[in-house]
Amino acid sequence: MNLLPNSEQSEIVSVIREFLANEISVRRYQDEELLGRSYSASLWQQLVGMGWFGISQSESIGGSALGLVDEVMLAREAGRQLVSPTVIATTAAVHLCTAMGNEPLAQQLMTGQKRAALALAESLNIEASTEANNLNGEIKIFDGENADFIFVCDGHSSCLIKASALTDRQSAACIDESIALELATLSATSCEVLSKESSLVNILALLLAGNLVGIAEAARDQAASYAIEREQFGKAIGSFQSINHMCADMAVTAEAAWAQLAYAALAVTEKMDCAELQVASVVLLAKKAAIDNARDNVQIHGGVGFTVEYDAHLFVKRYHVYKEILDAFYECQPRILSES
Amino acid sequence: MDLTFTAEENQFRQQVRDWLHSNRPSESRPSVADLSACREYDLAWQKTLAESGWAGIAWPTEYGGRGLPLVQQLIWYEEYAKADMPPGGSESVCFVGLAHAGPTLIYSGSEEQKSFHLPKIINGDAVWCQGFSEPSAGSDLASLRTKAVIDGDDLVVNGQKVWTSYADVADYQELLVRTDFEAPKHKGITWVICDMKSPGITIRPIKNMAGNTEFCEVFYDDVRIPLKNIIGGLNNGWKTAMSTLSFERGTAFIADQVELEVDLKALEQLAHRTKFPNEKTAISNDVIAARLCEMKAEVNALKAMTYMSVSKNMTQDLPGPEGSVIRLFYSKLSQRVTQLCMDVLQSEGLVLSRVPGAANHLIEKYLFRYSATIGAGTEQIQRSIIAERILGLPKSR
Ligand SMILES: Cc1cc2nc3c(=O)[nH]c(=O)nc-3n(C[C@H](O)[C@H](O)[C@H](O)COP(=O)(O)OP(=O)(O)OC[C@H]3O[C@@H](n4cnc5c(N)ncnc54)[C@H](O)[C@@H]3O)c2cc1C
Repeated sequence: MNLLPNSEQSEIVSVIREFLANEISVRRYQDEELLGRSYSASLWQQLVGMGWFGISQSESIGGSALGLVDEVMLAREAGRQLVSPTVIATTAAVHLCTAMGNEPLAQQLMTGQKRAALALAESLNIEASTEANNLNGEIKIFDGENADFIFVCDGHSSCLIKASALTDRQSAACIDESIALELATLSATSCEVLSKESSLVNILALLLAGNLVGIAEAARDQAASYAIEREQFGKAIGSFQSINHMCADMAVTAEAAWAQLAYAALAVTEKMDCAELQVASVVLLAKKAAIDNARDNVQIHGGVGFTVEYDAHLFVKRYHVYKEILDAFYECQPRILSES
Repeated sequence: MDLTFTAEENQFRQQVRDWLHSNRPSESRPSVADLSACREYDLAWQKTLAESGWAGIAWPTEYGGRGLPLVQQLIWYEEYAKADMPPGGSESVCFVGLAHAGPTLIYSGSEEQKSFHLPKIINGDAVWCQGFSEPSAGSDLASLRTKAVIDGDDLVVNGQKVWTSYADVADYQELLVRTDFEAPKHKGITWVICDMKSPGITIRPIKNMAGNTEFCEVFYDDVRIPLKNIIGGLNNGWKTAMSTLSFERGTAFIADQVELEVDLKALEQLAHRTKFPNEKTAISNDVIAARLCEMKAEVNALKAMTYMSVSKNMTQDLPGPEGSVIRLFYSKLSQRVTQLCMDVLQSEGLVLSRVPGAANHLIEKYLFRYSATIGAGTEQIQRSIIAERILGLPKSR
């Protein structure tokens, strides 16, 4: 048992952290041109170049053969800089393809020839609809422009559906202005790849939770550095105890969610009996940690925090996107209370 | 990173399980109303543990420990908590000795001090208490005023301590005294081992809100303590005290943290069988279920944090400020767990005891947990430590 990242893991994380901070820091959204473009083709090539989408895949198909825990650590870094949710979708899609033995498609996704976007379909029952050769319904797609597939999960089944099966695609303004939201109608007869394995549900939930933990941590760090730098009444606002202690609570909240994230990823990797319970626990805690810290971060920034020029608001908004995506397929309570 | 225990660790776990299974004491611990009986019981149990090699699992072998990694100690606590045994955490009179006096001695004591005291702690031959807090020095511990002057080979101590848990059943005390009144407040303090049977010590128990008298006021009237009992050097006591507090916040409560998982399981079962107005049972109530669900997730996170901190503490001699993160998370959560328990109990929670002397331990636990965010540093002090020492924020005092 060892819950500390080893030196290789710490090294990977610090390289990725630095890369994301330099290349696509959350600050990028201050450039209004970039709003609605959390996905970009050039970024995609860089992520592909780093082997992002094959971190935990076997070397025989071009992956790095690291673990799911490494993958969620990357998700956490992506969350800190509000990287596009399409990264989550494509990572999960690679898992789906390898689980179903579709290695050629897995490789196309890993090498950037194909891309999947996350989609939220509230009342879709994938299994029943595929049996009836009739997958249809209202759907919301995130950063799906030019994506080849949409990734949909209903909590039991996970599938990739060709983007060409979407009709009436219509751009809409998303509460999170960094994301390109589309509303569409799904009218497919079949999925490209489909699996009923619960491990895929766990992986998608963990990737989303990882991003939420990243949001909680980024908000904590942003709040702490502003509390050190901003002065009022002749001293740093961080020396006022109400601010000082709010930052401490943010640290506790983030730490608990991070520890649980690591534990849950390992429980899934090691196929422990409690894996479901552990994943549901981190989903519940990561959602709460992200919104609590994002809210406190706005508050600690005062007026600045309320402007669009500063990025504090984006953490709040991205939380809502991930939370709704999770809630549409993943219920925590039955998973947590069923084990007694 | 991994969650797998090695074959050796699993074997150790099995040995612990087997031993606990066949060695559960036939009598339960006496009520805390009779502290000397508790002392006798806890020491006898400690002796039994020591005889079978279960005491001082992670302590050095030179002083009677097993010299095993901290993870084995964690395994012991996990199995112990599940096995329904006598109190093994902070409730035991052996707690201070095992959880922070001992580790402080291991970290800073002289050879002579270590070889005299550590085996006594391990073997259940001595009870320790902590004489840090004073009436006007609580959170601001460094402002303590209990005075000690050097006279020949002794320190002569005058003053008062307060909230000293188990003082009236203790043999030794971790005592902080002021030995230099001219120096800045952190610089004139000395950490010394006080023999509680020394002439000049008066102890007055204080009743707490859970109805018990574990903690006491302690008065010192010309109490002579040999200079050789000083740990870490004259006037260097603040540093030694900080190490004691690091152990107290970093590793001392692992047993309590692990126990909370067992408590919550029991609460969940209680919620499944307790009748609730307009519902089948408490668990069918949406609000109760949602609260329980969140707490279960948090108890899982507590375990993950405990594992993370054990992993970290296997690589360092002294726990770092991250101990305060767990302490704060644990103490708040443990209070919410017992509070939910009261809501599940409903009006049964008003009936402290039907028969004199046999209090409902769930209610007692609820009341006692109010101290979790006060003892070992209040929640406010833990927040300040986290903000300053982990996040690098300026001092807020
Ligand atoms: C069950 C129990 C057992 C104990 N056992 C022992 C023992 O064995 N040995 C021992 O030495 N001590 C023991 N203590 C004492 C404990 O360490 C002190 O109670 C604690 O340090 C707080 O000190 P205080 O009670 O004087 O409260 P105070 O320091 O007076 O605090 C009162 C309130 O003010 C807040 N406060 C104080 N300073 C600040 C600040 N700078 N910023 C914000 N808020 C602040 C506190 O958080 C608290 O809410 C025990 C306490 C309890 C409850």
